[in-house]
Amino acid sequence: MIGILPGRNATRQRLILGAGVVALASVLQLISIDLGQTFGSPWPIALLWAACGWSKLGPNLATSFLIFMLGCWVDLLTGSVLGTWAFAGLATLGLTIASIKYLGLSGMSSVVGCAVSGFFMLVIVAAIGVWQTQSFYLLGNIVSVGVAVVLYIPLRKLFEVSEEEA
Amino acid sequence: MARRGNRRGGAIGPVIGIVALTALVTVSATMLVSGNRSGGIAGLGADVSGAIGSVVAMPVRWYNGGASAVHSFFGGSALNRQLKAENANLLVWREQARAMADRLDAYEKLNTIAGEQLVTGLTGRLVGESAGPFSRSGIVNVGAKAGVQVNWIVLNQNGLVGRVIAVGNDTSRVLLLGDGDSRVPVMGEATRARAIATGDKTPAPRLAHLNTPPLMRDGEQLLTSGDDGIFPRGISVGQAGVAPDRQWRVRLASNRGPIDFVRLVPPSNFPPPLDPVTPPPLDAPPTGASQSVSVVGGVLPLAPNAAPVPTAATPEAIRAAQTDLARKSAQQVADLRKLLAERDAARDSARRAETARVAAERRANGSAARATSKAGSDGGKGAVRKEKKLDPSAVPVAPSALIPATPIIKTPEPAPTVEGPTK
Repeated sequence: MIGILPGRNATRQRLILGAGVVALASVLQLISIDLGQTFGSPWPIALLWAACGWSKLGPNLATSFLIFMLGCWVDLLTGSVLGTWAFAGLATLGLTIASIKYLGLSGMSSVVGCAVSGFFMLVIVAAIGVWQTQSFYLLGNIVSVGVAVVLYIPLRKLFEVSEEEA
Repeated sequence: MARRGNRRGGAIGPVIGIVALTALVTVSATMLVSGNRSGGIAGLGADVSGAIGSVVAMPVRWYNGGASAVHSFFGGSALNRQLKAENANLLVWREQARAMADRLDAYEKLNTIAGEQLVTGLTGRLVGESAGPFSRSGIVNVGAKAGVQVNWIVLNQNGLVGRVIAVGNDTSRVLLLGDGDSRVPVMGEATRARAIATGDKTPAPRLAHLNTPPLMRDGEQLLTSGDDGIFPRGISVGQAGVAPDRQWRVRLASNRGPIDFVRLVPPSNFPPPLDPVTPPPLDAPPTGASQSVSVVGGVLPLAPNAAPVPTAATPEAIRAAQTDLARKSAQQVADLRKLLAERDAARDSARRAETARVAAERRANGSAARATSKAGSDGGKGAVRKEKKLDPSAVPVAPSALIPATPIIKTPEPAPTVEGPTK
């Protein structure tokens, strides 16, 4: 595993640390706290942090694999169909990398970048939800994505792993 | 930035990354399409989630317990009064429920109805609950070791909570009613309108396929209908209501309070019929039947020799039928009166014959007495000879025994004529 991780040791450590943070934050989904019937659960979509921060490495075997594993972990925790969160995370990663490469969004700030990734995540989640059950809980998902974007501000140092910065 | 990140792979690094990303997206999409939410991996996930959830949710449970204790301390007196009043009401309800259960049992025995008895299940505690974009499920701390199986029904004190979709060794994952995959056939308690409570990841499932929308009322209690053979009939699901999106939805009964202790019961699982019922083959119609059968009054007789179907489509036809019926009734009354007159005549003749016979017998007895007194003087020989001449059939019998046993026939009243519908 270490052999296929990119770059320097600091980058590897950040990848592993970020994966651990995502895995731990996903456990919060098991705590039943509700903001009411309109807004649903307040817990963030932690996979968004990894998809946003690791996209700066470009297409990479290790980051893709980590996001796949983290997505399966969230699927097992939440009881959703196996592969759902993995697909959402990987698709968000791919769309974020494509937007950075082809739309010239590499110079934007971390929060704006996370918001763009959050938008991609929201669209993918909506598409999967509509495909699965012909329904989409818009406000609840906006709350979860919004909380994730806000929490990304203090956590961004753990996830933004470009080789220059490392 | 990506150049240095993939420096180890050289120019081929990004290509490997793109291939890996595409392959993993394909794999996850395949897993997503396969739609696997149960099985061994899901059971393992339930065990892991249960172990983690019971630890992670502990501060929340402590907080809830502490808040409840503080609330009870300061509002204990009012709470005590409220609970006493509630307990008194519940005792009344309990007695009524027992009486009704007894009556129901008696009715079921009288009518030989196979009642649906809610069998005794297991009690567990919801140790974790997830409400993400793709699922609304919970983790219960009883699993395969306790005998729980997939599709067991989960209830709490308020009503239906969901059903088990994955079983681990020590935990089970419960699909809550709000999940997008949840489908529960329900019916209105008063109107019996049928629908399917369809989870759409919102806290209030949608009522789909409502068979009679005008019948459904806002606030009506919804119960499980048991039409699927899995959920037992009569479990409270919630209240019907119209949401702001103008759709009928269910205010879930299980959401009246936090879900803590739950009861897991086996599903109904009615076995399917072993032998499919096939309709008996119909006989071919007789040859020429179509030519001989005439359609009278728009009604087609079933067979050529069947009784004519009465046609009472018009008031004239009704009046004609009533006149015919009255004529037949009068004829029957006349026949009966004739029979009764003949019977009375036969009784009179029988009485006369009996009277004549009794008189003849008395005369014979009188002459016999005279002969006896005369024979007493000559040794009684003549009396013995006279007695031998008597017929044994001449023994006196009651006059009623001679009346022929005719059945008692009541004279029927003539059928009342019914006025036809007036135009």
